[in-house]
Amino acid sequence: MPFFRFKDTIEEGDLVIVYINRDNMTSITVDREKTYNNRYGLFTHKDMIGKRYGTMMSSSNGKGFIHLLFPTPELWSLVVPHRTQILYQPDISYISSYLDLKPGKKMIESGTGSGSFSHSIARSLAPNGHLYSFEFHEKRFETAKAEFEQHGISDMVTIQHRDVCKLGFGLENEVDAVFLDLPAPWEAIPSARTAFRQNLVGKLCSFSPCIEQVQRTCEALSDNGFTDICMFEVLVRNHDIPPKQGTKVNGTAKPSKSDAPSLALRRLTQEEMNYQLVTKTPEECRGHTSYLTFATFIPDLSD
Amino acid sequence: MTEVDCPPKPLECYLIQAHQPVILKLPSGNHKFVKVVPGEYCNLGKFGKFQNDDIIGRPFGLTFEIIDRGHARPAKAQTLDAVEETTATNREIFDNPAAQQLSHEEIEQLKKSSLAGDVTHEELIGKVVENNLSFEQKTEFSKAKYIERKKKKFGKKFTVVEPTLHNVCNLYFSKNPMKIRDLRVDTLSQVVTSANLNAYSKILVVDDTQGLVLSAALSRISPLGNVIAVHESDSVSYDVLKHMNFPESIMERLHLISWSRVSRDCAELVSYERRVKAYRRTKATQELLWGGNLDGIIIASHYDPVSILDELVPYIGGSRPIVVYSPDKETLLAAAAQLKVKPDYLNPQITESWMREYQVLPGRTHPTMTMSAGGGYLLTAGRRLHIGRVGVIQLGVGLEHLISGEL
Ligand SMILES: C[S@@+](CC[C@H](N)C(=O)[O-])C[C@H]1O[C@@H](n2cnc3c(N)ncnc32)[C@H](O)[C@@H]1O
Repeated sequence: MPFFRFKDTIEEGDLVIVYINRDNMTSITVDREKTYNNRYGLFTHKDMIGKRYGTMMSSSNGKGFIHLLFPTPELWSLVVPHRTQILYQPDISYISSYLDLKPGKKMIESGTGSGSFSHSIARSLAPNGHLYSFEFHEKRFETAKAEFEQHGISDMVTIQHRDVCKLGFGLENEVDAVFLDLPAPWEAIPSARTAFRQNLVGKLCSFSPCIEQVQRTCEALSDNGFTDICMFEVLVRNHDIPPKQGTKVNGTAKPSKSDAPSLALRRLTQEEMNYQLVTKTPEECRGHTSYLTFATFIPDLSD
Repeated sequence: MTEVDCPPKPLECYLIQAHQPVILKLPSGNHKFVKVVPGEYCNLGKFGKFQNDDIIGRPFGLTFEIIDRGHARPAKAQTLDAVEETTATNREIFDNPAAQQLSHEEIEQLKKSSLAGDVTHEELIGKVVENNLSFEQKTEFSKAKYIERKKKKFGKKFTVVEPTLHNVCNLYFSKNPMKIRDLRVDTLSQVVTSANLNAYSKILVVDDTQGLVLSAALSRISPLGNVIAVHESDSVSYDVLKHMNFPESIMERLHLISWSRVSRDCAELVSYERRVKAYRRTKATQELLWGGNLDGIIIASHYDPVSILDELVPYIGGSRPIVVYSPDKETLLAAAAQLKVKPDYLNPQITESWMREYQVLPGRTHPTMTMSAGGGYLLTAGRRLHIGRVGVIQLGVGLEHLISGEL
């Protein structure tokens, strides 16, 4: 079963996202012989089995706790071991929307890198679509291949160890969409052209951090007959809600030093939270990921 | 239905079919919704008209050209032309309407002949350019711009655009953003992923965006999924659905239920003889909803999100996504603050979307001069399952994030 298809109860062998807090998550594969530990305590896998996804689990000494979450592609992108730069949700979402990915569609991605993009795409194309993924770095290829197998998506993701700039994709008249995350995407464009289903219109996206790459890509796209060339940047900014604690002059919520631990033992009360709510942006955020260049493949209808 | 039973999309789905809603991109660059009724003409006003049968059976995304007497045929789409800069400058150019040697009447006459098919639009544009005295003095960039403007005015090329979720959202957003509560396409795309929409999703939707969010859900499920839409008690207004092109096998997976039927305490349904079918449908939808363990909920409603969640969150399964859209941040702020103190939610977060489009032309690449100022806000959280009250649990050092409000 594909790992993005929701299930309720944790079983031996499941992939589980351990949620400590927003900035601290990790993934584990449940193995009843093993124990997960962090600075808040020990958590035996055996005790996770039979628990429902979305529940809290206390550490064996009762001092700390974690939440056990189901691994969606979005959570996976946050915990995936980085072998390369990866794509994050805002870009993945926009690309998936533009390329109109949905069950049944077939597409190409290269390079596979850390597989962050692949998982999200596999989810969107399942169960009857297909993702052809290409990676020329042998170690990355092997790691990704193993991951796809572990996550139960290897029947709909074919990964190949191949230099797509030198050798092309080796696919003809096959796909609806192509995604390029390569240092020199322009070298892969002629082969992408051949890979599209030749009697239909197809969409291509190229993901490059530098504007010079975009320009070369656009030139190659134009030379290869692609149309509707356009380019976007998308970002997302968080608005955090800083806790308000007794900022009223006559407020009683302000903890004295000795009160602090007891305050630490509960969630904020409704009253505390309702008092003049404000948001605050984080000090830093992602300012640039890459430029998203899109183009349309037009079939040759000169008949 | 098993996975094997979910057939790949037949090829025809990618081709323009009779009676289908499509989007036309006009020479002016504007877009419009039309329905492809066979045997009828599609009238594009000053750009002319064409027989719908000329486009039926062709793949989506093709560019056509209106030729003589109301027909259209596939045409070459525009590609990027490099513009070589020359020594000409804009110094000598003044805005001078007299630069155009053709009179208004002469141009009108040319337009008429062009509509009738006696003159091609290239010829028409050529004449207009030829007779513009200042054209030769223009820089190459301004020449290209000038021709571009004339093409928009006198052109005959249109493109048949597939009504995908992305395209439909863009069209609404540029024409009538109020209808879809200013939900911009990049934000919508994040709704889709945040809700982990996939072929199997059993998803709950509360949609006041005329069905745009509902369309998002329907466009990502397969005949193996289910979408339950909770709507106003007396009316359903999902206008966007009629511009999408969902096959019957997907529409069958949409289950409508009004707010008055949501609560388990709502009046027992009465089966009137005449309305047995409607009765059965409502009953089945109630069972699907009350059966719980749904795969997530998406809210884009005028109503207070928390009041909606209080009613519906019990039906959402553990660890499943909760996604709330709002065009303003304050609504989500108030909601997020409340979710933080309720035990059913994990990690409520507010995000704002930002998107910028670029003009990409050889040697002239830059961000577009105007952009959409805002794409709306999302509140996302996970469904947390709990036994009893949170406060009861022994808490320790792991809990800084509880007070810092990060849970
Ligand atoms: C930035 S990473 C891709 C990250 C991926 N999109 C993700 O979300 O995890 C780029 C990958 O492309 C691979 N690559 C570069 N040139 C290649 C080529 N010519 N053929 C195949 N893979 C290539 C690199 O080895 C690298 O792993």
